[in-house]
Amino acid sequence: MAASVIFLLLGATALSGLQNRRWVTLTLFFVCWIAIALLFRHHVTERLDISL
Amino acid sequence: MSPTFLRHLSYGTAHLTVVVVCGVLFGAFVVQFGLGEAPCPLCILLRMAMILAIMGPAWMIAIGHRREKIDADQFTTAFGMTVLGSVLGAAISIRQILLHIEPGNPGYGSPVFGLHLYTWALLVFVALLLDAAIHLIFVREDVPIVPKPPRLLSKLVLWLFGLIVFANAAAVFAEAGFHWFLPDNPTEYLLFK
Repeated sequence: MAASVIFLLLGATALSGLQNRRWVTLTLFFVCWIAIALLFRHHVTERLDISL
Repeated sequence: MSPTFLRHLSYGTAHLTVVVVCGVLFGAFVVQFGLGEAPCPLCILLRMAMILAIMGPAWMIAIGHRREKIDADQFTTAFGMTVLGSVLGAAISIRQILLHIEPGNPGYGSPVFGLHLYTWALLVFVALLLDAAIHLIFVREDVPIVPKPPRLLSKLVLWLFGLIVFANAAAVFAEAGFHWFLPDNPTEYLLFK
């Protein structure tokens, strides 16, 4: 659901770009950016265990 | 090369950028449905970041399609959006590469042309960063960008972009169902379970 919501947000950002509303597009863009970063943070649950 | 020609070229290559990245995202669908490999959460995040990275050029195409003129500040905003999306996507793909970097680790999913999809994703993000840098180097404040490609082409590119966003939203909803997060190694579509 979280990923679906972000894709819907991305769709909303794209649709706002079709209207002449620059600040709406930019605001939605940053909301998407933060949402993706937070979801990334959620899925990074453990430290990398690299021992080459 | 005149500055006006460079502006026309920039607007044309913005179309190419959106089409190429949509092609990469379509390729991910071929692997997902053709080879039956359900994408992991990081793969889904990479798709989101790719869409985010081409949001700027798509927005610029939409402006040009409507107004027939793009100001320098709109141009720089569009490619600034590409830089932000690409940096986030590169961080995600580097994390996924590092997860499977140990010798003997087979990686996640099947390789395509010798590289895994997350490695290809990193190459795409680096290419997008270089593309944005080159566009931003040649921007001139005094020359408005007058769109050159036919309006039908711009419309087709925007529809393709919208279709890819919608298809990804539908595919990830099918995969996650009504669960808030995807499992780490998904093997089935939870919506139909």
